Amino acid sequence: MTGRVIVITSGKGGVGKTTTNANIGTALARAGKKVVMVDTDLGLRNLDLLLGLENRIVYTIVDVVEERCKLKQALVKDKKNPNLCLLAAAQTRDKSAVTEEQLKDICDQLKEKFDFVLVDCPAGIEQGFQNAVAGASEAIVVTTPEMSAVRDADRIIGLLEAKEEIKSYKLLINRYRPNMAASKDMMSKDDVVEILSAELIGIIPEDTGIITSTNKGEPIVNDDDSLAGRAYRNVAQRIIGEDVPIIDFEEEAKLSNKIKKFFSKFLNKGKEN
Amino acid sequence: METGYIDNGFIVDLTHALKISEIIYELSRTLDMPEAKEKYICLKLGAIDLTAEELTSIKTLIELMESQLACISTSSAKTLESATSIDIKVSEFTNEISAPSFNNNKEESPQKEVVEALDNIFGEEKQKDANVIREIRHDDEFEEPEPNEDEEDHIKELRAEPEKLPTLYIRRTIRSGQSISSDGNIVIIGDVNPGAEIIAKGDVTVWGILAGIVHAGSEGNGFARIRALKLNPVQIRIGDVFARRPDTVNLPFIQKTSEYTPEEAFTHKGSIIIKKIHNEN
Repeated sequence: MTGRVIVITSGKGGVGKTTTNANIGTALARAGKKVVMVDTDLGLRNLDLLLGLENRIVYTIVDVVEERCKLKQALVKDKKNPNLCLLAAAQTRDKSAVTEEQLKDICDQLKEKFDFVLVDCPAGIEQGFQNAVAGASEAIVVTTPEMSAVRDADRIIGLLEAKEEIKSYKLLINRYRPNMAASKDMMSKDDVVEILSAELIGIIPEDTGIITSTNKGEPIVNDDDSLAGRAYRNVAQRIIGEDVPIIDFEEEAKLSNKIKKFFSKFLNKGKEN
Repeated sequence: METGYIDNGFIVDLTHALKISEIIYELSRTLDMPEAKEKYICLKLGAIDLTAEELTSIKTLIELMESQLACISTSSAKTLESATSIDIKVSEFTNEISAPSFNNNKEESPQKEVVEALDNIFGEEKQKDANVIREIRHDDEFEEPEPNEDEEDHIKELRAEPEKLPTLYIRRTIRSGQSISSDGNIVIIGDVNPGAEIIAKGDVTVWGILAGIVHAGSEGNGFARIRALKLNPVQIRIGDVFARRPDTVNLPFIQKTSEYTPEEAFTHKGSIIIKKIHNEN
């Protein structure tokens, strides 16, 4: 078996790389794929927290590289889904503890055993980014509809295009507020796609449920009622190759705005009377 | 081949077992019963192929459980060969044997987790697997057994070891990503935040909230102890025993209060127990 190695990156920090990684990974595993997530954010690891696996980590990627354990021993199985594994980053070391070649070697070994290897990239364009990209052949660039994040995503796409190993990259717009986009207070998805001229793989709406799910260590895709969860499952389906339309939150927002207006008029009338 | 009959023993029927881990699991469960001590055991094996090493480990397990392996029966030529090579008697016993037969309840399949854990032991990887760490046990009622008077000298030494070690004394908060290690004991006046790591050859004492990873007795001393005003570590390691915070206690942070009851962590029969330290009135 040769799995796909996908790096999830953004350039700017705080746009939701790790959240995206945890949710896409979980969604792919729920769809029956064997998935391993590799956290390369050495010294600032978070992926284990989002998955609620922090207390299970014994060995990290640095232990594998420095041969204190075998790769298989360092893989932490998810609490719920046996198809899902995590290779955690070391918290007490820095980015220089692992080299590009070592990371590529680990990814090559993992793709023999898993359908998907999702690499969580640290923010920035320094060594951490170079390491994370080393073993990957595909990339998902996460951005938010803000000028600064889009600018950084543009820089990242430039760097990815210069890399021969990266065969394709897709764009994911995170923390999207359809209402604000509809009222032109925020960049719309079309603006972002036009600036970056990249293929879109999904739009994730802003959802306060993400905060709760992060604190609980439970990815939001496991919540069947959540809109963001639905959007992430949608992205996973598209990664697998299923032809599902991208949820058009703007249309949904316009519609719900109309309904709200209609009802508020209706209610106000009720009050006046 | 001879017809098996055993004095002072019984037959364990494992003909349905397809994996060595199932055999080990069912055997250890059966032999754990008080009436199974100091008996001669006949193992009824099915078509499973066992190597000489695997048969030896089964024999060792039975001896560890204070019984003797008298003979086995098998329908596998390979197992037969392995048994002959290491002098385990092979018999063919029928159902009419007068020895009591312990038929393991087949409806109750061995717990998957246990079988998986045993697979890990008998599989290629013999080292500690990240997926079999136990949970920390919080038990304020736990009564610690008094140390045995006539215990061996090296155990007494281990128990007293931390008192003879030097101590590292730190007066600040240990933050995420920081790692403090010492060849002696460690005393920290301040909190140990999640993501921090404390590793000591001897004891660890924290005058504050301990929420990171802590390893006492890092060179194998299972008698080392960990004390803190509030013990909420992600993981505790004492000697070679590892335990993780239970998933039910998923607290991202601890509410600070003005009153704490100090807590202590220690090992007991392969698990780690946290107990509140009360005044003994």
